[in-house]
Amino acid sequence: MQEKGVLTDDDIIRRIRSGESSAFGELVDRYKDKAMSLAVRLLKHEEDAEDALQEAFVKAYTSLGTFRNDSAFATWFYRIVYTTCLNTLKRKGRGQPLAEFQEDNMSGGLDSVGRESLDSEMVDRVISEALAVMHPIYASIMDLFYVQECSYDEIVSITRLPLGTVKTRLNRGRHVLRVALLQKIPDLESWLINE
Amino acid sequence: MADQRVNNDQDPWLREHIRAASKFSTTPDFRQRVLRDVSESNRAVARRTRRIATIVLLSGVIIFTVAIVMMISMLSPTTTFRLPLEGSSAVDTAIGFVCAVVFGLATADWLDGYV
Repeated sequence: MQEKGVLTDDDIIRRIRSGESSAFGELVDRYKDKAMSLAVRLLKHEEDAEDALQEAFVKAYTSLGTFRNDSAFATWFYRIVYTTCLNTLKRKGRGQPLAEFQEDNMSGGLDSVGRESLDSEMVDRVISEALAVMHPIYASIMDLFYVQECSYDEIVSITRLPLGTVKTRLNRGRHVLRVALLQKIPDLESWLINE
Repeated sequence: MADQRVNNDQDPWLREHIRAASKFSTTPDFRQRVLRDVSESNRAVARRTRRIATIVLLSGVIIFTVAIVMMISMLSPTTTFRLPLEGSSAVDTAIGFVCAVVFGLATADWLDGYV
């Protein structure tokens, strides 16, 4: 018999389908924090993100009958989280038009970091700030690629965007990060060489 | 150097920093709230299923009863409750049948509130 810790998503889904609805708690534990990151990147507000995530989990549970195993559960579930967050943005009228996005958003926040205090945590802080103000359409793709470790095809399937658009948004997101890093950490180049 | 590292989508350096900068967690009672919503949704589905079953059952009983009454009234030569079926067209019969179904469903739905 398999131990609880090594159950696959499919095993858990089989248990839920056979009437053991409490097994859904294991899926919640498995995905809540990672999916929270995607929701925060889209909604820019932790409470709203948690509410949207709660809604997404309930939708996933009630739609589990329509999950056909033709993709990974994670891809299917992130699609639900993604659309739920987009709906929340529309409902709240916070869908900021793309044209309003300014790289100047990066200028606030952290002061420039001197070489003597530069360490890995500083880079994390700068990236965290940059992602926090990055437009959701870029930040969400960055999250799916780097945090959720989705492939390009999986991101296409989650966002229903063309592959070219996904790659463009990913490049744009990286460009924003590079600008932020170089702006906040003037010594980044030499630090990277020495790292 | 920064260009190379940031632009290379396979460079683990950027991935590690983005992941470190993306550590979010839900509130401690999140799991309970989701499971509570899930069990409420289960109960709602069960309620809806029971309600549909009750309506179908009651409407079936009512339609069956109406059909029996109609048959008795047609077969009995002395009944005063004779429905005007003789000489009626197929359209009249169809309308009568639809009315009986609607009446059955409406009554069953109304009765469902008391079941």
